[in-house]
Amino acid sequence: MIKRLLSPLLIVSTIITISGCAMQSEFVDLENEVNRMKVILLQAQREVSELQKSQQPPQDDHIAVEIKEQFAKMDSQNTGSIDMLQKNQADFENRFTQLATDVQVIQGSVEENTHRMAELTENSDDHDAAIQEMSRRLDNLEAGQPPVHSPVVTPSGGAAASTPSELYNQSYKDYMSGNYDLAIEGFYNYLRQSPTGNLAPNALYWIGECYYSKGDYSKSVTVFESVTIDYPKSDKIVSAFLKMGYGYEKLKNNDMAKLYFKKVVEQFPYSPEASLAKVRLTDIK
Amino acid sequence: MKSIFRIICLILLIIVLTHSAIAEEVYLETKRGAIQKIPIAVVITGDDQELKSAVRKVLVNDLERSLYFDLIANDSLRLKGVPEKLDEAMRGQLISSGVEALVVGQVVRDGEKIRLDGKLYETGSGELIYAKKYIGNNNILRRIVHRLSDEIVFRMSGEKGIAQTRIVYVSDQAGRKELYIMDYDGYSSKMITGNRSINISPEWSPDGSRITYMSYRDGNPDVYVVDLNTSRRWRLTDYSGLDISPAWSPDGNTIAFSTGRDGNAEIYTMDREGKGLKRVTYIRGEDVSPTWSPTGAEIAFTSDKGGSPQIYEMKSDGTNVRRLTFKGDYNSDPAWSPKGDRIAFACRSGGSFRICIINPDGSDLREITNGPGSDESPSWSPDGKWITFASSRGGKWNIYMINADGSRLERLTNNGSNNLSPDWSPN
Repeated sequence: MIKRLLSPLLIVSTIITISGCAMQSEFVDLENEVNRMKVILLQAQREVSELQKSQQPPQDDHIAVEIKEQFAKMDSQNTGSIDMLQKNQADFENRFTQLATDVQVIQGSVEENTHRMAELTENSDDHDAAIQEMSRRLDNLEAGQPPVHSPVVTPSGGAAASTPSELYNQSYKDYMSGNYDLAIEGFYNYLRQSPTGNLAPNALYWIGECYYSKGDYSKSVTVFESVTIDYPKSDKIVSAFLKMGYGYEKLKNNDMAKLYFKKVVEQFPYSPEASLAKVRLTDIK
Repeated sequence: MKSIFRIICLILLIIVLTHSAIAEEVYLETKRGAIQKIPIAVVITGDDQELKSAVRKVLVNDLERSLYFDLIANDSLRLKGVPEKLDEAMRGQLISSGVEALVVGQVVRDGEKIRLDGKLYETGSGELIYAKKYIGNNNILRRIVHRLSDEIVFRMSGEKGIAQTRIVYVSDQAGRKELYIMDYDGYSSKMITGNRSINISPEWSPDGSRITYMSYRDGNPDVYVVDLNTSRRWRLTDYSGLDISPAWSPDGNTIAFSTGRDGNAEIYTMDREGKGLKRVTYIRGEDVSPTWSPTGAEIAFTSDKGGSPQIYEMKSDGTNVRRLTFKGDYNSDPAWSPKGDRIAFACRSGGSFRICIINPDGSDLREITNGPGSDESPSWSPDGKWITFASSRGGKWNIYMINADGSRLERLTNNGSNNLSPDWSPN
């Protein structure tokens, strides 16, 4: 049922993401176009002022009048084209602003759809776990053993949590409260229970963040690397690459740090992480 | 383009041209969850009736607001002086009325001075578990009683009390928007700026010694700091555009704020002296109102990157930006709770704002106020049990406090002016 629900959602989300990308590329094209027009406008203005500067004092009245007429003509031609250029520029800027707003609205829809999908997948994780537990108990019954109820997870980190999503949320709370060791244990428990769960990439990512917050940069780099290898399609991958860069920088391995900052800039040029990586690349010697 | 920045400018304008609308005042009272409270009795002795009743009133209010105690009436209890140990008869009487702890305060006026001899007894054993003599001028009587209350809370619960905390807020009672500090119960208010300009969005430093705020003091909206011990104040930013909504990191070494220096509003951090400027957000859209998680690892903020203002979270280094709120078309002003388990914010509901609370994982969204008027700028008490906020429910804007479960609404300001942007001090 949930899988059936998911596929239309996935399609809608993909379309929105793709159209978002299309809008983004159009947006960049427009930005380039506006910049090009600005350059043309500047050039035209410079030409006019150079022409005016090069105007020599007239030696002969007749020639002077002729030159003046010619300049007046050129001036009016230039003014006409500058007016047109300015109008075009204004039009482009309007469209640019409109597109920026459209991009934001689409971004909002993508965020909302991703959120709905995350909610659905979280439920499906819990359902999967419940089904596994039921079939285990059925197997026991068929084998003639008394039905022993055991919780889906037996956590030491994320105590008293019983479904995968509860365990995940408890571990997330532990991370937020600064109980990093508990959070690491809880997230690993989640990963043991739901290795293919929908929140698995996030759980692994948060383990990396916990190690990073603890100051264990070596472990954080290893875990972030696992995120990029094990879950190459996760939306956490950009942050994971960037945090690998940060981690290597903390470990005084600037060459490796630069490698990952460059990776972020090259592979995800439009992400906020790329901007952060560029700053680090400028600052690192 | 929809812009939070423009909206902020509009809000600033509205602040300047403050309005008044008459609205009926409604107090909320809902049942608290079943938290086991300690039944406690309070006896104040002394010859000065007026003084006794003043001390009693402050102490009882403080103990009730701590939410650790059930105040038990004890009119029949007669005490002479302050005994070292409760006698059997007294113990029997207290236990039969269910009292587990007894506070006795003997208060004496001594010229300009007040002497308060405070004692706390455990009725089960009759033992004295805390005793202290307080002496101070008459004008700090409330402060003395707040200290006694915090001691009682600490002895009985192990937690730090909030009776000595204060609230900084913005008020136009002197004409312009100036900053004021009042006790957490609304008393003893005093002005801390006086530059006849606009001063807004104040926030306490984590050690309570400084307040950062945004001011037009030198003609441009910049971030300032005032040191409460020395009264020294200085500017932290000097960018010619807008620098707003400063927020201290939990270790007190960093201030996050929002600035227009990149065209649209982005979040930056700087050290407590305004140096080491670092850009944190690179988001297409306006990013304002940062608030730190108590570990300092995360920052929540308002952004319109998705078309409407919503609350987002990110690592405090700017990575891993996640959207937190999905209900409603306008959510702003996030405030992270002191334990890190909740985020309060202003949520628009039917045209006006309410105070909402959500878990940092996006679950358990609750609207804890229900109007009338608009409720804005939430800030947590350091014990995480209360939220102070500004509300227009009484016509003018005033500062209120409410329990985080939506109960026990209390109005703190009543000066006939507009009072906004409260921020609760640490304890």
